[in-house]
Order: sequence, then structure tokens, then C-alpha cells
Amino acid sequence: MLSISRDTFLKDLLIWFLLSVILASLFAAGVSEVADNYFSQAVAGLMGEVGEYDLLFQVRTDLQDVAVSQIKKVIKEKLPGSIVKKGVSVAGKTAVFVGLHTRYRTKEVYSDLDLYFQDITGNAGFTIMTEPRLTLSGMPRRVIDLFIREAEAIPGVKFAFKDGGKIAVLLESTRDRERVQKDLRRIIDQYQILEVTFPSGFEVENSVEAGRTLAQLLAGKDGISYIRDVTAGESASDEQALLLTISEIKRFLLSYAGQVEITPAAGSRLLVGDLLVLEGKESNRALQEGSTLGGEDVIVKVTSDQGGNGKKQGLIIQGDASQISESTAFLVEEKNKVGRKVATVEVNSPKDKLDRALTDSIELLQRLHGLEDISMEGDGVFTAAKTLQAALRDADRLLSGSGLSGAGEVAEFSHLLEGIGGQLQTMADTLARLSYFENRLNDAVAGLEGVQVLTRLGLIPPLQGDLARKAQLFDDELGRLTEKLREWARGLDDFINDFNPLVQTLLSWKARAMELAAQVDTVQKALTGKSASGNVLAELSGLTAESLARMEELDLDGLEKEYAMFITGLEKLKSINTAGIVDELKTVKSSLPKLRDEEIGRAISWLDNYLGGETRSRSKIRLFVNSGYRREGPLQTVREFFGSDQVDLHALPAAEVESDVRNELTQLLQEVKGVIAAITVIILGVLFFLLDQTPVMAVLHYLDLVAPYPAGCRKEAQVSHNIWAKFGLRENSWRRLLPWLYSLVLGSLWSWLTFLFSGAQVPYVNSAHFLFVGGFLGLFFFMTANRFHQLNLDEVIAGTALGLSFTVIMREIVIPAGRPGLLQFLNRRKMVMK
Amino acid sequence: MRTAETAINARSTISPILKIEGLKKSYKRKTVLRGIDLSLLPGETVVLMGPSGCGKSTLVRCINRLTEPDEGRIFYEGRDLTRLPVGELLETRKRIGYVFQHFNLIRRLNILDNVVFALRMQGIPVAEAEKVGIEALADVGLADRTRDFPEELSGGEQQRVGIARALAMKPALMLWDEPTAALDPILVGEVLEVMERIVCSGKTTMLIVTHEVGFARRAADRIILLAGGEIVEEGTPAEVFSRPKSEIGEKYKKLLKG
Repeated sequence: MLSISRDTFLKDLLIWFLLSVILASLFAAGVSEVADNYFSQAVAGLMGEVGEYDLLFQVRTDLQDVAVSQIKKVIKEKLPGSIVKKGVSVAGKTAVFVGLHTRYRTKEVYSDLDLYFQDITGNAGFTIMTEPRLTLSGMPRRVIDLFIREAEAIPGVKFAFKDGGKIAVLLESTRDRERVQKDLRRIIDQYQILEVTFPSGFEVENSVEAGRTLAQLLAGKDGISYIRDVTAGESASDEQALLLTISEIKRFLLSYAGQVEITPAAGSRLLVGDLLVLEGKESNRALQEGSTLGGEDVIVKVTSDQGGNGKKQGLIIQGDASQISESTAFLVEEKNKVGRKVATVEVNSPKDKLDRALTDSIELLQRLHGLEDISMEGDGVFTAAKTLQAALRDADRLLSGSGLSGAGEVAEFSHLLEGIGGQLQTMADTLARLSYFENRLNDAVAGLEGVQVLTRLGLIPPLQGDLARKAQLFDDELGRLTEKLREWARGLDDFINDFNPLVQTLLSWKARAMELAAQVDTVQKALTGKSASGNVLAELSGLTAESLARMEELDLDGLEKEYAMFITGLEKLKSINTAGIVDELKTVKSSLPKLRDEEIGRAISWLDNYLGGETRSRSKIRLFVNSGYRREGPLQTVREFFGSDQVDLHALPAAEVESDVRNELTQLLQEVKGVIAAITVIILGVLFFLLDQTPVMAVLHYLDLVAPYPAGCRKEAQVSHNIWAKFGLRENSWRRLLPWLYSLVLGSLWSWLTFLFSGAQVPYVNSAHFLFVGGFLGLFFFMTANRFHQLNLDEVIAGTALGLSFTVIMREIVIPAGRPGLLQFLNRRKMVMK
Repeated sequence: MRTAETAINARSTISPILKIEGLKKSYKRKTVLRGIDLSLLPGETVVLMGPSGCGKSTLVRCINRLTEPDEGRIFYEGRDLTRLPVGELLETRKRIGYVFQHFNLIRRLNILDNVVFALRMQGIPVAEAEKVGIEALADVGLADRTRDFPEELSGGEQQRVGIARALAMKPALMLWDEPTAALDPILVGEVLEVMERIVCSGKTTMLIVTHEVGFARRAADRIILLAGGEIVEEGTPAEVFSRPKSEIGEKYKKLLKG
């Protein structure tokens, strides 16, 4: 029975197997080829032949005539020589193809196509389908230019341009496709996208800013030689700029808003979100527990626990706290009722401070033209100092001689003292004025620095837009002015500090001298004794000598020279366009946001919502870096930055290379072709097995009947002459196993070979999987053979009883009784009883 | 019909054409044959009787190994069928005619082809085979129906075709497995008549399984009663039906009297 060299049924089966595999493969391949041809022609009908068209418009079908005429008009005007063809209409859209004349297949034209065709009626946009082409996709928008530059450097690339979020790389020839694709992949491999991911629940307040900071931290470390932050939504630079600007606005508003420091009263517990009403000047009424809140009341929302020492921070959400510095706060209860006293608050309003600073700055700058006054004030100080020095010498002379021996000398001394007192008063007043001026100067410097910050943020309306250049000039001028004023203030401070101690010494000398002089005068008149007046005079003389010595210590000439240089420096201030700056500052002051605290509070809440939504939905941070870096370093840096070991860093491909639409369609069609072939193979497999193998498998269920045991091989007897014995299988064991093995192996091999030969392909399934599919098919048909083929067992038994062999029984009884199929067809030529 | 005495004499001098020793057969846990010892002499007609399920058909099927016996030996013309190579077994089967209860004709073939089927498979020329076939059909009274197909015949006629198919092989031994069991009583007679005629010709040794007591009494040289997978009584029809030794024999005796 098992011999295939003789004319046996096994040989018939072998021939059937080969033929059925070949026929099924050919048929499946044929069917898939026909389907492929059909679809290819359909694609050609839809897209034209290779390289025929460059643009595909999808226009509304009802407006197609208008659209086509407009397209033709544009072509006539801008792209003469190009062709237009109307394609098929599907789902209310009609395809219109444009084939550009070769001279227009340039980067410039492709870059302007949007402009050319922006006003086509009923146009739902166009797709560039120029071939041969490759497409780079998946890269962050911020690095598109980088890839375009690198792609255009590849030999065989005609040019590359931005096509939506992708890069279209047009090739010189189809032959270059493989090589260019390889080169593009090489370029892509040079970069990676590092994506920072966070554990569940981890929130990044501002991922855009975090991304930017991380990029700065990682740059130049651990092999990262190139890094760009591409965090913001799909890395759109505009969007990123917007987010950053909004973040800065929020920061500015926060620093500008009335900041409230809340000190909870003993026994009161405040939570973030609680509302407090302030007792203040604005409402002009005293708050009482249980009363209803009014629209004019100042309401503060507790926003943070970060105040330190149990203090909290808050934001004014109603009213304006500009008139309030310290206040008692009441809890706002349900139904807008004033609750109990819960805290004291301290309101700090940078807004008012800035306003004041601007006012001071403007006043000061307006007075800069009167610098001569300051110079004269200084001169007055030096004159007074010199006069005082001379007066002190005279006084010393009077006291150091025989003393105030006569009434004339006493009168002279008294006169001298009066003169010194007047000079001292003048000098002290002048220094006080200079000190006041210095203080104002310092305030102005601080104000100007604040103004400079505002202009740098670009938040002051008059300096925005096309006035950017002006803003820069203003910023420069302001910088120079601020620096000069700062120097001047320092000089003035030094000057005042040089004279102030002297003035104090002289004032105390004058007071004591006046006192002592009065005593001298009284003694001279009332007494004749010398001793008392001698003592007084000795003290007065000592004091005068000491003061004179202090006076002599002061290098008035040297100071005068320094002061002259200082005044000369001041003259340079005149070179700065202070008038222009004053005008600008007035503009700035008038254009400062007129927001009340409650409006600022609302604006911050609104910005928080927006920023929160934007940054939370994109809580991933993405950095575009060169490949070949050391992963551990950046990972460590990122984890340290966020303070969490749960933060992770993933490396992603920088981009992907895609083929053109036709190529993708061709690949898709190849897959469809493969799948059709696979489906055909499966259908044919089912048919072949159903028609041809079910009779065979049905008989295999009665193997003992049609194939008696060989001599000596009965139940329990060991097999001694076939291969199964080598595996220790007894005759009856392998007989039980044989039909299953036959079905399994036949099904597996048949399917596998047919899949291979037919070119069948199923995505994610390889040919080895077909072995399992076929094996399953074979076993299924073996198990259900009697359902699909009603074997006439009586006929088989009759044949057996008549001494017919297995081959004869199969050829003459079983197969002819089956369904018409290949096996029956082949069997006919072997049949005796036809 | 020979007498019991001649039969006994013959048994002592002639080698049996079929000899069964210790034949056992079980289906799963049910024992059907419990060590059957039996022998048939050439030309002898033995009727095997017994209640349903006693193992008669199994015994017959084991003889040409349509059913593989579990134990025991079956000698046909001196050769042990249980030890024969496949090829020789097939050759031996050709010399053992078999008549089935359900006729077992091949439906796609006409009755002549059914009869000559095995001959043709042996390579006998068509004409020669058909000549033999027509003769066999004539023996069973169906010479004029050669081109009919089985479904065009009555049950009795189909069984006669089955008999002709067996006869055409000119077997030395014919096994009959309840040939009339599937026929209605009206058709039984025509088959029994053919059977009796063949028996009377004495050309072939026969082992007949039947419930037809009358036929057995008329045609059998020897009757074997089987019960519970064992031979419970054996003897000439007169012995078995007149002086039964077994319970089943008593029943058959009563059946004959009734």
C-alpha cells in the first residue's frame, strides 16, 4: 500500500497533490493578477500614468466646471503649457489633475502653488503628486528646514520642499529612489527625538518652558552636540512662541497684580480656594459678620500655602486693593455672607510702585535740564566750607593767644560765631537738598529699570508691532540713561558722605562754642577772677583746634577737582535724548494696563486655564538631538531636573521615509494582490479538500477494514518491518496515528506550497503560519469527512470481501462515488469499471 | 442431502476446508466470541443459528478477516488466515464467497458489472468475465436483468445478484451472513429457493447464518447453535431439533412444532 514506485493509489494521491498545488497556485496567482491589473488600471484612471500629473484638486462636483475654468485661467496666466484633466467624481468631489510643464517643476513654483490656487471655487485643497518622489514625515516642524537642507545635498535629489507637515523630496529619476531612500534613512539615523515621559499623576506646570530649559541643560553634554527643543504641540514654532508669551504675560501679571499675604488668625484654618473679604477703604463701610457682600468689596481668593510661617498667599478677584495696605479679612460664607474674622492681610501692589516710579522718573528727567542748579548747590557747599575754614582759623587765632582778654575780642569772637553758624546752616541745608535729590535719583533709577524690563518684554502697546526698532532704541537710550544716573547718584552720595560728618562736627563745635562764648562774656562782666574764664577758654580753644584740624583734614581742593569732574560727567547726560525718553515714559505711563486687581486676577485665572490645558495635554517634552549620545547622562539630568526617578527618557526616530502616493498605492495593491491570492488559495484548499480528500479521509476512518494487518501483525504484536518500529510504535498505534498524520501533513504542505507558489501574502503572516492554517484545514476535514462525504461502507466491505486491494477499492468504489473533482478526474483513467 | 452418518464418516477421513481454533473477539469491553472451535468439511453445509447478538455474524466476518479476531486461529485449506501476508489474504478472500445481509451491491454498476467486478479486477477479459457473470445470474434467475442497476431491483433480486456475485468467483467456501434478514417475508422465499438449489448442487462448502429454521432443517448437514459467544449445541438437524440438549435448542424445537 505504501509503495509509490508501483501503480498504487498512493501514487495517485501524490500526482493529485502535485497537480492540485500547481493548479491552485496558478489559479490563485491568476486571480490575484487579474485583480491587480484591474486595480492598477483603476489607479491609472484615477491618478494618470507615472509622472503625468503633478497636482490633484478635489473640487465640489457641483462646482467642477467653474473650478476647472479657474484652474485653467491660473495655468494660462502663471503656468502656461501645463495641462488639466478632469477625473472621476466620488462622494460629491471631483478629481481634477494638473500636469505642470517641466519648466515649472522647480522649488520656487512649488513653494508658490498655494498662492496661485488659493481662490479656486469649490476647491477643497490640492495634493502634490509629482513623481518620482519620496516623503519625509513624522519630524518636528521646527527641524523641517534642517532636513530640507540635508535632503537637497543628496545626489539624485532635484529639490525638497515643505508639503504641509511633511517634506517632499523630488528625485531626478526613479532609478535613484532606492539610493536616495537609503541616504535619507542615513540622515534620519543621525538624529533622534528624546521624549521625556512622566509617571501617572506627575504634572509639569509648563512643559514648553521646561523643554526649553532642559535643552539648555543638556546642550554639549554626554555627546549631545545638537539639540533643539521641539516640545510645543507638534513643535509648531508659532504655537510655542504663543505659549511662551502667555507664560510671560502670566508672570508679568502676577508680579504686577496686588499680592496679598494672609496671616491666619489664631484658631482659623484657611484652605486654598477659600474666599476672604477685606475691610478696607474702598468700600467706605465697616464689614459686619452676617452682612451681605457688595460689589465694591475687595475679595481675595487663597491661592497658595507657600507663604511660609503658616502664612498663605492670595489673589484679589474682586475690587481693587490700591488703597489698602493692611486689613482685617473676613471669611466669605454661603450666600455671599460675611463670615467671622479669620486673618489679617498685607497687600503689596507692585502696580502702584511702578506707577510711582514712572512718575518720579519723569519728574527727574524733566529736571535734568536744570543740572546747573545742582552744580551751583555744590559750589555753595565748597564756598561755605572755605569760609568756615577761614573763620575757624580766626577763631583759633583768637583763642590760642592770650585768650579773650577784652570786650572787643569777645565781641569779635561772638560775631565770628554768628558768621560760622550762618555758613554752617547754609551748608547743611544744601547737603540736605542734595540728599533729597539723590533719593529721588535712586527712585528714578529703579523706576527706569522697571520700565526697561517692561519694554524688553514687549508688553507696552506703543512699543509693539512695527515699532520694534523704536523699542530697541528706546531700550538702549533708557539703558544708557539709567547707567549715567546711577553713576551720578553714586557720586552725589559720595559727595554728601564726605561733607556730612564734617558738618555734624562743626555744628556741635558751634553749639558748644556759643555756649562757652556766652559764659566767657558773663564772667568778663561779673567777675574779675581769671581762673574760671581761663578754664572755659581753654575748653573752647581745644574744641576749635580740634574742629579746625578736622576741617584741615578735608582736602577741599581735591574734592573740588573731583566735583568738577563729576559735574563735567553730568554734562554728558545732556547728550542723551532725555526729552524723547520723557515722552516715551509718559506714553508708557499712560498706556500701562488700567486693570484693576480683580481684572488682573481674572486674567491670571484665564491664562492658567489655557496654559494648564495646553501643557497638560502635551505633558511630554520632546527634544531633537543628534544620535550617538550617552543615554545615561541625559536621563540623569532630566530626572534631577524634575526631581523624580520615575521620569523616563525615550529615544524615537527623528522621521520616517515614505514613498509617493502611487508607490504607496502600488504597495497597497501588492498587498491586496497577495491577500486575494491568499483568499483564493484558502477557497481552493477548501474546495480541493472537500471534493477530493473527504472520500479518502472518510475511508481512513476504516483503515483496518481496507488495509488488513500484515502477516504477524495483530493486536499487541510488535511491528518489525516498518519505520514506525524505530520509534517504538506498535502496529495498531501507528495505524491510529496514520490518518491524523496524513491529514495534518497533507494540509500543511499543500497550503504552504500553494501559498508560496501563488505569491499569496497576508500582512503580519508569513509562510510558516500557512503550515498551521493548512494543518488545521487537513485535521478539520479528517474529523468531519463523514459529514461531507457519505461513504457507502457496504460497498467498501463488499470490495474487501471480494479480495480487492486498497488501491482497487479506492479507484473503483470510493473515488467514483465521491464529488467530481481533480482526484476523480485523474482517477477516471485508472478505473477499470468505467 | 447427506445423512448424519455419512457426514460423521467423512469428518473422520477428510481434512476440513475450514478449521477455527479458540477464536475470541471483543468490542471494547463486550466479549462477543469466547473461544470458538469449529471445522467445516469440503462440500458440507453448516447452518449457524442463535439468538440475536450471540456472535454469529462476527464469527463469519472474522473468518475472512473483515473483522480482525483478537485471538485464535483460522485455517482455510490448511493455511492460517490470521498469519497470511496481505497479498495472500486478498487472494484467499477471492476464493471465499460472501453473501451479505444488505446485499452490498455497488450502486454505480449494473448488475452484470456487479457480478463480474471482482473477475475484471483479476484481469479476466471482459467477454470471458461477462460469460461467467451471465451464467451466475442465470443460476439465480436474473439473466434477463444484466443491464439493470441495483436500485431498479427488488430486495430479493438484489440479494440474488449478491449471490450470483459470490458464485461467479467459483468459491470453495461460501459464507452467508443472514441473507434473508433484510427481506420482507414475500421475498424471502425466492432467495431461500436459490440458496437451497445451490446447496443441493453440492459444489461449495457453506457456512450459513440464518434464522430460517425450516431452511436449516432442510438444507443443513449440520447445525451449530451459538449462545453468549459460545457453541452450545452442534449436530444434525434431526439431533438438534428433535433432541435438543440446550435451552436454545429447545426453543427452536418448539418453534418447529408451532
